[in-house]
Amino acid sequence: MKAEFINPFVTAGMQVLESVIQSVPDPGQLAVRSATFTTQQVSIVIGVTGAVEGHVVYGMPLVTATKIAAAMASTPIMTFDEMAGSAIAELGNIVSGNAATLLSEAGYECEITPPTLIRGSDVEVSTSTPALVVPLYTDFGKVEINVALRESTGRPAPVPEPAPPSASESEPAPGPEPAPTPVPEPAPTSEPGAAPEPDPADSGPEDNQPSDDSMAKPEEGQS
Amino acid sequence: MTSVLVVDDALFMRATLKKLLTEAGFQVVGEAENGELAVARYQELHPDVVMMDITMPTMNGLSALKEIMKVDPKAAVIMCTALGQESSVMSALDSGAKDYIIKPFKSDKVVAAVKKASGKD
Repeated sequence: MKAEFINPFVTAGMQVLESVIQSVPDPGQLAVRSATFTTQQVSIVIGVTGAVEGHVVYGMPLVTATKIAAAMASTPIMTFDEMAGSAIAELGNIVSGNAATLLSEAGYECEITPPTLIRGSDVEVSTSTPALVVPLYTDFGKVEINVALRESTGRPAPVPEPAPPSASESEPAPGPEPAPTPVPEPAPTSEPGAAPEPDPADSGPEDNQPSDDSMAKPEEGQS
Repeated sequence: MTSVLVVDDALFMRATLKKLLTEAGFQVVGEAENGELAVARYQELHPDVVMMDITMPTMNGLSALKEIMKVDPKAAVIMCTALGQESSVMSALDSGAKDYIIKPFKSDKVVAAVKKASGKD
């Protein structure tokens, strides 16, 4: 999975969130997540097809989703209802559409599918490829962008599969998802203008504090 | 009063557009959540303007646009899309769409597009 595939989603995510929340999000550190990961309380899944294929999952706490939905609707929202869910799904749609435009401008023509909203903690999602994830810290809370894309092989990308439900209610709930593993520093690339690989950060649990690390920098020519 | 059919699979977008258009003095005569329903509602309501999302399940906006143009070559359809690719936009315009707006859209651009498409600007 190329780091350049996540840059358009981070760029679009920051632009759209800024227009909604009226403040600039702080991007956190890029990290790698395995192909099977646990979603946040509210997640939007969007499929991507074309020159790149796979899925993008936007995740956020319920309180963050509720605040963002209220900002989009320009009205207070007390309960995360169908309208609020639709607003958040549309947020994912807009970010992904704008990102698809950037990917196309970079030579990767692609289309997006209608969004799917997933609600509930510890829902396990499997994608066809490991995801690169960037947290965006906003005034309303953290929004994670998980990008699991690869260059198309010509075969349709499989639909992410939710884990099967527990056999009985007495089974213990799955434990919290381990923190995503920072990518170890790779050998230097010889490609000019390539996005820098993520820094090997100190391992540790995620927190809600903005990181000082810079986001994955866009390649030359990308906005 | 200019009548408008709003087509988008997102409940939120339909509600937002309906509020925006109503406040701007247009009459939202119907809504549809996919292209198939949009074609049926167009034939039923004959609105002055259609606001059509592109990415929808069952039948996408481009296909619905083509079906509506078969029924009424003079239909005024404005494509609303989160996709800004030239190919999608050009396909829509080549198929007869009057205009397009890219999400997140600005209210004044929506109003201007509807007025222009309806021929009442």
